[in-house]
Amino acid sequence: MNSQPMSPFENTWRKFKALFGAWLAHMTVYRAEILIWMLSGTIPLIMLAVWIGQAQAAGGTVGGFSASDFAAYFLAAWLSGQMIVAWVAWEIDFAIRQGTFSSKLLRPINPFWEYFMQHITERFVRGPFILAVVALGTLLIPGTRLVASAGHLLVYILAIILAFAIRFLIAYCIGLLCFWLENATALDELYFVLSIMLSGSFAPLDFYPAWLRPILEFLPFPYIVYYPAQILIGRLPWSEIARVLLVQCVWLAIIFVLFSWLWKAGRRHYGAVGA
Amino acid sequence: MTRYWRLISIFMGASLSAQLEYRVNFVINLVETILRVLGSLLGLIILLGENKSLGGWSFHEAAVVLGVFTLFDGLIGLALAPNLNRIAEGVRTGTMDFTLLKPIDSQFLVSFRNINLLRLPDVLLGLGIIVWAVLQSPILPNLGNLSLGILLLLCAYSIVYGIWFMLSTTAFWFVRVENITELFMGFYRAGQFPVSVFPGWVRTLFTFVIPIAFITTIPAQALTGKLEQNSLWIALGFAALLLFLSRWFWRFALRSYTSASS
Amino acid sequence: MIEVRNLEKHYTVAEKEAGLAGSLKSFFKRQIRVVKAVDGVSFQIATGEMVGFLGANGAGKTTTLKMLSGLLHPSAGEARVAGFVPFERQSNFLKTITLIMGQKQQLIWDLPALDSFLVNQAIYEIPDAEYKATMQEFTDLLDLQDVLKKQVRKLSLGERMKCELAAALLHKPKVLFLDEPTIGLDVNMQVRIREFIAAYNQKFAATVILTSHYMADVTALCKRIIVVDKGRIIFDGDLAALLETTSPSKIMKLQLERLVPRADLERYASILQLEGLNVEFSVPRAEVSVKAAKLLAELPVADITIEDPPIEEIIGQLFTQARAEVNV
Repeated sequence: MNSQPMSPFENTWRKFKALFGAWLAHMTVYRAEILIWMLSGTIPLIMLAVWIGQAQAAGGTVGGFSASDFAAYFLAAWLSGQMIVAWVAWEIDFAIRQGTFSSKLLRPINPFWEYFMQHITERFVRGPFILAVVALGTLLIPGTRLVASAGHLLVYILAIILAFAIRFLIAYCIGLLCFWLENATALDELYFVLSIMLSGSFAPLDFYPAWLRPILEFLPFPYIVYYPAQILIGRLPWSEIARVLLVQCVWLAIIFVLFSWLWKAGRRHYGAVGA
Repeated sequence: MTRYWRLISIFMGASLSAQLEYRVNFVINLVETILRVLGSLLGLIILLGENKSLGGWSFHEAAVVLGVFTLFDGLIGLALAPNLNRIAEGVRTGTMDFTLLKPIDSQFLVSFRNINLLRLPDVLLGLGIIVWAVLQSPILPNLGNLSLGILLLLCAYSIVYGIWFMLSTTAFWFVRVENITELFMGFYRAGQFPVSVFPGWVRTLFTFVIPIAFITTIPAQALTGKLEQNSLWIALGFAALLLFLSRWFWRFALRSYTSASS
Repeated sequence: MIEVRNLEKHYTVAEKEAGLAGSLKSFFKRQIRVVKAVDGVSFQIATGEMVGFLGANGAGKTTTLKMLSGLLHPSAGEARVAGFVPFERQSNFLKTITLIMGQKQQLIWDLPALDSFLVNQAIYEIPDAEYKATMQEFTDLLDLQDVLKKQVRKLSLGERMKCELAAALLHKPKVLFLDEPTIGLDVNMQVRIREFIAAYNQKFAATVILTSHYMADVTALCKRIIVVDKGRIIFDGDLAALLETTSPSKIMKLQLERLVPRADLERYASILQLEGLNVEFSVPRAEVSVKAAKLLAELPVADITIEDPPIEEIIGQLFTQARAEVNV
C-alpha cells in the first residue's frame, strides 16, 4: 500500500509543516480581527497613562518610579500579556457544542496540536502589530528603556514561552471542563479578570499592599506577566531570574498533570454521554 | 407607544426563560462581576497609595466614577450587546430580512429585542457603588445635583448607545464585525478612572474624540457636586448628536443592504 | 469486518416544562430521565458490504454509528470494527475508518479546500505519490477541479459536501460510516454523491454503513438494510426480501381506451383507485403475469405499468407491525 515508508521523525515534521502552513494562512485572513482583539488587552496601556499622570502630579516620581520607568514596565507588561493570549477554551467549547469535536477526535492526531498550532501561528500575525505599538510607545515617552540587554532579551524569550505554555494549558483545562459543565468559558473569563488583577497589569507588584504580596507569590499570575516584564526591563538580579524560571517550570508541571488527567477523564466522559 | 412597551416585555420574558437554563453561568458571572469590582477598588487603593489624590479626586469621589463605569458596563452587557451584536449575524445569515419585514420600526426591533439578565447584577452593583460612595462624601448631594446626575446618566446612555449602535451597523458593509465593538470597549476601560488623571493630550482624546469622559466622569461630577456648567451643555449636545447620527446611519445602512443570497 | 453484539447505550437527559414557570422550576431542580438510545443491537457486516441503516429520528442510528467509530463508549455489549475495539481509538483504527456526519465540517472555513487536504495528508501520513493519485481520482469522480482553490466559505452546499467527502476519504478508509451524506442537497447532487460512494465501494472493497432520510440513497446503494426503532433492530436482511414479505402484492396501473364500469373491473382484482380511464389494481405477486395477460386480452388497455409499492410505505408498515407486537 505505502510506496516508501517514512521515518517517524519525518512524519512528525510533515505534520508540523502542514498544520503550520494552513493555520498561518488562516490567521493571515483574520488579521483585521486579530488587530481588533488586541484591544481587549488595553488595561496595561491605560494604566501606563494613569501612572504617568500620577507621576507628573506628584512632581516626577511615585514610589521611586519615574514616567519612563512606568513606560518601560507597562509596555513590557502589555507585550507579555499579548504574547500569552490563549482563546483555546472558547475553541473547545465551540467545537463540542457544534459537534465538530467529534470529527477532530476521529483523526489520528490529538486535537491539542491543532489548537496549539493555531495559537503559535496567530502570534506571527500579531507580532508586527505588537512591535509597532511597543516602538511607538518607546518613542512617545522619552527615556524609555524597554530592553535592558541582549542577555535579558534572551532570558525573556524563554520566560515568555514558559508563561505562554502555562496560560495555554490553563485555558485548555478550562475548555475541557466543557465536557461536564454547560458553559465553561465563563470560567475562562473569571480567570481573565483574576489575571488582570493579580498579574501586575494594574501596577507593578511593588505597589500592591504589603499583605497581598506574599499571597501572590504562591499563585501563577505574577509569573506570566509581572516577572517576565521585570526580566525584560532588567529590574531583577540574575539569581532572582533563576528562581522565577524555576517556579514557572514547577507551575507548568503542575498544570500539565492536571491537563493530562482532565483529558483522560474528559474522553471517558465524552464517550459515556456524547456532547 | 404601549404597543412598544408590550413588545419589550414579551421579548424579555422569552430571553429570560432561555437564560435560566444556564444556572452555572449565572453564578460564575456574579462572582466575576464582584471580583472585577474588587479588582478595580484595589486598583484605586493602589493608585491613591501615596498622593491620597487621583487627579484631584478623593477615594470616594473616584469610587463614584467606578460605580458609573460598572453601571454602564452592566447596561451594555444587559441591553446593548445582546441586541446590537446580532446585527452582524442577521446580515450574514439573511435573517435581517425578517426583521425588516416586521411592521414596526426596524431600529427599535434590532435595538430592544433581547436582554441578557446574566448581567443584571453588574447594573445593581454599579448602582450600589454609586449610592455607597456618594453617601461617604462629606457633603450629601442636594436635589439639584441628584437630578442633574440622573439627566447626565441618561445623556451618557444615549452616547454609549449611539456609538455602539453605529459600530454594530457597520456589519452592513463588513460582514465579519462581530468583535468590532471591542474597538469601543478597549477605550471604554479607561473610563473607570476620572478623566483628569490622564496626562494632557490623552485627556483631550477621551473628552472630545472618544467621549468617555461624558459617560463616566461628568455624571460622577454632578453627583459629587463638582460639575462645571459647560460640561452639561456639551453632554446634552453629544447625546443629541449621537442619537441623531445613529438614526441617520441606520437609514444610510439600510440603503446599501444587499440581502444575503444563500 | 464489523461485528456487533448486544450493543446498548443509555443517556440521562434533563427535562424542562415549557414557559417561564418551567424554566424557573428547572433552575432549582432538574428532572432527570434515562433514555435507552440503543437497546441491545446485534449484527455482522462482511467486508465490502453496503448496508442501509433506517429508522425515524432518535431511533438510535447516529448513536450506533458513533459507538462504531469510537466516539461513544457502549453502556453494554461489544463492537469490533476491522478487528479493533473502536473506543480504544488506536491510530491504525482511525486510519481505517471514516465518519461523515451531514455538513459537520472538518474543512478549514476560511481557506481553500486544498489546504485542508494537505493537512489531512500529513495527519494521515499519506505519501506524496499516493496523495496525488487519490486526489486525481477524486477530482475526476467528483468534478472538483474548479472547486479546490476556492475558499470553503464561498462554496455552495453541494460543492462543500463533495470536498467534505474527499477530505474524509483521502486516506482511503476501509470502513465508511455515512450519516446523512446527502442531507440538504438537490437531486442532481444526491445522485452524484451516490455514484461516488458506489464507485468507491467497488474500487476499494470498502464496507459502508449508511443512514439517510432519502430512501433513494438506500435503494440505490444498499442490498441489505437494517431497520431500527426505539433502539432495537426490527428488520435485518435483504431489501428485495423485505419487499416480498411485507408487501406480497404489486401495483398494476392501467390506462384504458374507453370507460369500463366499475363492476366489470372488480372481477379482475381489488381496485386501489379508479379515476375515469385510469385504474390501479393491487395484485398478489404470484399472479402478476397471469393477471396482466388476462387484462390485456380482455380489456381495452392503452398502457400498463407494474410497480412495487413505495418503499417508505413498506417501512412504515414495518414500524406499525413492530409496535403492535410490542403492545400485545
